[in-house]
Amino acid sequence: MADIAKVRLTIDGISTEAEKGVLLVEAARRIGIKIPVFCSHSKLLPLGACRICLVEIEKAPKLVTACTTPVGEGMVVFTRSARVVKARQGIVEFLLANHPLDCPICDQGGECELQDVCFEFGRGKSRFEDIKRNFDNKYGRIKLSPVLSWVNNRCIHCERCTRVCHQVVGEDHIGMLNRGDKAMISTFQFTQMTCELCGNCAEVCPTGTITNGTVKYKDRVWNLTPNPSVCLLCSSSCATRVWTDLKGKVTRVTAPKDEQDCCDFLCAKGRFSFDADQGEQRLREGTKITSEVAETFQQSESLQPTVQAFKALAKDSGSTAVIYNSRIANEEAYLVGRIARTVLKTPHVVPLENHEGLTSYLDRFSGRQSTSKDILSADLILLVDAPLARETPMIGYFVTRAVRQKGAALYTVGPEKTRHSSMGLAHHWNAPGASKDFVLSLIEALQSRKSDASAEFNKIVDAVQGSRQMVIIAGSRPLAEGPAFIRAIESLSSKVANSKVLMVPEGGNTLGAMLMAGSGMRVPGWGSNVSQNGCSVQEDVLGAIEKGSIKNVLLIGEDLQEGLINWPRWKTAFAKLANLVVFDAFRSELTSLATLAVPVRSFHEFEGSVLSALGEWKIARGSIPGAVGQSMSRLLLKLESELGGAEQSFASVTSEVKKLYQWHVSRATEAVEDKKSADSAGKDKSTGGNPGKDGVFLLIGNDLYHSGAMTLRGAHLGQFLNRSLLMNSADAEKMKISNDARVQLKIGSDKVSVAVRTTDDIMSGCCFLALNSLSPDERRWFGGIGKPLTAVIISGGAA
Amino acid sequence: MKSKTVFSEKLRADILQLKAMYPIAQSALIPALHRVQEEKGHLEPNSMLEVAQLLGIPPIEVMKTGTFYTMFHHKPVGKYRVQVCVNLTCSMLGGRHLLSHLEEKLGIKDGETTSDGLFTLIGVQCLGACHEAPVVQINNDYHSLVSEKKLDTLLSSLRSGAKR
Amino acid sequence: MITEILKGLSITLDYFFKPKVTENWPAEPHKVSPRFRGRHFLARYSGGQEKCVACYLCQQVCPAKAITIESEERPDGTRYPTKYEINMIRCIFCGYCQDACPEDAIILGNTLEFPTRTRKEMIYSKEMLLALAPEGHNGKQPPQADTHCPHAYQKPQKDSQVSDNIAKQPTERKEKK
Repeated sequence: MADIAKVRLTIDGISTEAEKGVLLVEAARRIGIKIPVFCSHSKLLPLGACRICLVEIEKAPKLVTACTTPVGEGMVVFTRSARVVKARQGIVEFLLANHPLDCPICDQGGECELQDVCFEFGRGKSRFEDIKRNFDNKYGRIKLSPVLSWVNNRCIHCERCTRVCHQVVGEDHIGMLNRGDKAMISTFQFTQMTCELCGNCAEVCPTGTITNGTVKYKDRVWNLTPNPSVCLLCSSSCATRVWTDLKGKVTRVTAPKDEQDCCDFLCAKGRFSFDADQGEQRLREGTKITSEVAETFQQSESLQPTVQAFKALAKDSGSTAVIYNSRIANEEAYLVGRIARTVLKTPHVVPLENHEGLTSYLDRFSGRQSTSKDILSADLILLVDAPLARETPMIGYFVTRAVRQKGAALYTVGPEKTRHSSMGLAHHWNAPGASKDFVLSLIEALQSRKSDASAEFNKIVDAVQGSRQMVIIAGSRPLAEGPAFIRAIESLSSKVANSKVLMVPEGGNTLGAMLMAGSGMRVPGWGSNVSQNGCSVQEDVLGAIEKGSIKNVLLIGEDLQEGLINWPRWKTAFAKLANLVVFDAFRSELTSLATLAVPVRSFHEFEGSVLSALGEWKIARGSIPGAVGQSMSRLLLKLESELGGAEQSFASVTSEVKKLYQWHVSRATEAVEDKKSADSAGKDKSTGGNPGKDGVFLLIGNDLYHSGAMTLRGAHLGQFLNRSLLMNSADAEKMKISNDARVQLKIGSDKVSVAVRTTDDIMSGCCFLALNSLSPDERRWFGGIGKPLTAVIISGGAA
Repeated sequence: MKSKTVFSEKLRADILQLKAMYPIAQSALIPALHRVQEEKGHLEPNSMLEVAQLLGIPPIEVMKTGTFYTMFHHKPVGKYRVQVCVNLTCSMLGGRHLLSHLEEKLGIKDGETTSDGLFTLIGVQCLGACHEAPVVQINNDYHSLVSEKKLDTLLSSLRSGAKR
Repeated sequence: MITEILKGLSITLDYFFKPKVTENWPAEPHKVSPRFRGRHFLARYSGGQEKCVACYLCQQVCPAKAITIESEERPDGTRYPTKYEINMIRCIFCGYCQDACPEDAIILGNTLEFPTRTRKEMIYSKEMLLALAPEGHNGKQPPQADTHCPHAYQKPQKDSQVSDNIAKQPTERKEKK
């Protein structure tokens, strides 16, 4: 990359240097010269529609648009010459000709790019005397979605929104209808939006045409304070800006505006579930049960009861199980792991979201996984059963950008056709739970072609053989197949030159929390003096409680009850315990059972670092005003010193955590160099791939808008909750089930009644049901996200 | 989700054939829309949806293209589509007067259809025949150097032709 | 010497018979200047709809931070304040809010005296401010006492401009500096 040719050019008399292919706008920005832009956006392909960026180039007969012109050797550019100034004033005048002067009520007012450019580059006076274009109410203010507000009168036709929908999100849901001054942005036939409602169109809109409808008319931008934070709702772990109003209440969440790849966009859950932790269900006061009496205490006073509880836990060493979920920061996980080993002296440190493959993935790929840059520069992307739009939308955006902007080839494999399948070159149907088989047969086919393979499979083989830079992305279902899949994919990656692997677990800080808490893997220092033979999954803990070998449980995280599979069984098991200590941000049945419930900060209030699935190290400062109490890591630090440990500052924990990560990375790299035994990938076929004769595979996952119970708790996204069973249309025809019919789903001895939606996008023999659309009681038979279940569909639905 | 088909077998086959003619399916969009309009008279939402399904492109792409060009109609149109050019050259030579004359004569406004379903009046931009302005295009036929008188005879002949 | 004293006394005598300039306030009401900035009120359109659109500009410009606003969307899609409070104890009556208002909704009236017994009563709610609008004030004419003052109102609106908010032409902006 270093040998990219550079060209010299002069902008406004300043001589500068830029790589070949860099656009003039970017070259000017680097030396601090501002060229106004509307249609141009650093993450979108250049368009040149609005003409506001016109600049004068010496020897060029006409003014040229700086947002589409790449730098050239010896170019002499003027951005403030009289001609340019006059042209810009003219453009601004034309843009304002039909723009209503409703800035006082427009929610964009104050952060409006049109406002800024008009003040800086406009004439300051209007000569326009005619009647402005005014769409009648039907189109001027169409209500396309409850979370987005549309005022087409304000549109300046830069098409950023439609391009972001096509090039980044890949939805193609909105478009510019009509032409000339009648042009407007809308959906097909002005129907309600059925896209994933990411709100990125509102994010990039330079005017108030599309704005965030959840805060419509509620406040003004200058009253809001942006607080940098990190979203913990999926493993993309995007940086966010959480905006609080004058009272410190969170009013909206936006993406940070930055040149980095990971910025500028957010998904629906990141953007609209901010209200989840503002509601009634938030745990704001702690409770402790002493001699059958429940006492409440303030969060600020939680240290004393916690110390007492931990002293009780520490009395009986080794009898405590520590369970955490992925919505905790690295520092918190690290301290939890350390306290478990040094104070509680227990080997049972168990993550709630457990994919058996994760430990071996972390062992092999820490620091070596594909990064966002790898995805964007790849020429071949292979999605192995990865419903990215549902599980980790931001990684899905990277894939879409690679395909739609950089022309990467995309192939998808799995039992579901996702949004990415429609932009891919081919989709290979592969049964759930059989991703390993696919990878193994791909490795075989790379050496010798099989004659009986499908056309799609052969296309994938050809593409892999011809790829220069390949990225393989696998979702949470393949991860659940266990270490054998990881070995298989490692073997594939070692056979294809320049290939990278990315596994996408569903939960927020899954990778970081597992590494830092040291579950199931070797940890330097404090981990070594405790036996390694602890429980590794939550089922083990449940069994041990029932057997009586575990007498205390410490649960740490957020939204914990949602992660406990088979809640009724857990409930009876918890009744046996001597101590049940829960650190949760939400009120639930679990917190009411706890002998000590401590309120903690939520998914965007927390403080600490996060390791994203793409291997990025994100830092949340926890500086949001109105956050509940102090951060958990500081509480744990104080707790440790109260219990006889050395006093340590938060900053030193941060550096220890970082060092620990480096240690893991170097270990993973060593492991690769040591063992060239990648061929030892298990040749045994996995058990998946053949559903029972009258049963169907039930694929479960969370619908896009949801993360655990977040959406049920938030008002904005909860209204889109869709509880229906997605079913293959051919299967449905065979079973004589029509679209929208109600059926009963029998899993084990439990039944659930759901409506059917038939689709061609799911493999024959499979169904999809959104886990989060079910109540906790209905959910109890699920074996966790990722594991396919066998279910029987009873049509008719008569209860 | 599949919606019910609104196209005849022939129309579906034609569109699929058009799709096969181009390397990119989207290139077949305008010919396909023309073909649909030929058969259905105008483009209704369901037709556009089905075109999108047949070509395998997002429905919004079809609607974008369909609404961009004035040659596609989204409401039922009359038997004769009278398109009067009101662009610069034609306007200077009386195009706009012709339009208002027709509005008066047919008793309808620009974009409307007569109650007998014969004529739809549309004021359009340049028809590309400035050298013989003013130009009126009725369905696919150009009528150049039109005067009010010439237009009246044209309309009455069309009317009597339709009656026959 | 004596002449000087007499001279001085004559001036005193002169003023003694001239009409008095001091007012017997508060026994007699104080006559305020036409440009006097007194207690605020919120104006309505002649149709009765309140003019305020909750743009928060007055709150932003207020140097004393005396104004508190909360806003919402009406079912018909228009914007309105659910809460509009002026803390009259904090207010310094500078008139910036009136100057900033794009709708001429907040106007400083001519009331000088409005003492209360508690501080709480000095926080004026939206309803109180709307009720304070002088009788017959439809938002187009200045209040009665201000009639001869050309500066009390900068932008008298024409009838046609009042209702048509969306397609309103850009009015002249004041040059900044």
